[in-house]
Amino acid sequence: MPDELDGELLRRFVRGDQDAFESLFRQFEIEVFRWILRIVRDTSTAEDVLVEAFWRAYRARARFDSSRSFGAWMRRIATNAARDHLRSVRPRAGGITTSDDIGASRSADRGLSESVALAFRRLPPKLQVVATLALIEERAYAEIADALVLPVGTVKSRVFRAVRALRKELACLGIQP
Amino acid sequence: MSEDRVKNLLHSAFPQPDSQNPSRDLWPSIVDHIQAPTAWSWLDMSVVAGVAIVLVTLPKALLLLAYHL
Repeated sequence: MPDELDGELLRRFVRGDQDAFESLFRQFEIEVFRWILRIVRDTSTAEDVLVEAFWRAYRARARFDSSRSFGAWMRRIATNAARDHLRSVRPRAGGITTSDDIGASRSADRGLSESVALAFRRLPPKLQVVATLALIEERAYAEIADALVLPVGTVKSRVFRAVRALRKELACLGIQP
Repeated sequence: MSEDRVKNLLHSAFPQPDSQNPSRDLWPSIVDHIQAPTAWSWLDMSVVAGVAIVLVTLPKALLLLAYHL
């Protein structure tokens, strides 16, 4: 993320200057959008989450330390907003497709992909976020740890738990590799 | 199932989205949020009402409140 920012711009943002905030938004919009898109996997949803993330940043501006990286701070807020979105749309157990339903379409690749997506979306959001970034986007553990404000060891542990939970979910859906 | 197999399944299930950029200018939506009047929650109103009742019944509590502020 571009982070060669004018300190005065950041201080104006902290004071609530809307022009400064717009300037920061214009500089970071695309990078933050792409980060959110990596997690939520849908353009329209990513737009909504982006608006929510920047709104949260504006509300929390007084807590921002203008000597720190705005990009890293914004990425953390965006990650939390994306995780909250995943939590709000997480499929409930009652609404899940049964293994018989899946079995009928499993022969087709599309059916398998849908089943995998369904099983993945049933994982706890905190596992979904790390698994998406580590396994699908193949981002470095250190980068994920920074975005989630977690130790690298915790990220590794969550990836391991996500894989184990996904195997279990897929087995429940009748998918054995 | 190996981790590589899981990765392959996830790559198939979650392909890269076609567009990597927002479809519209999102700044106006953020401005709408900023300019929207702040909504008071029931919790906010309950706290205000509680403080008001305490101050009416126990005026000396104002000193305690001022001390904590």
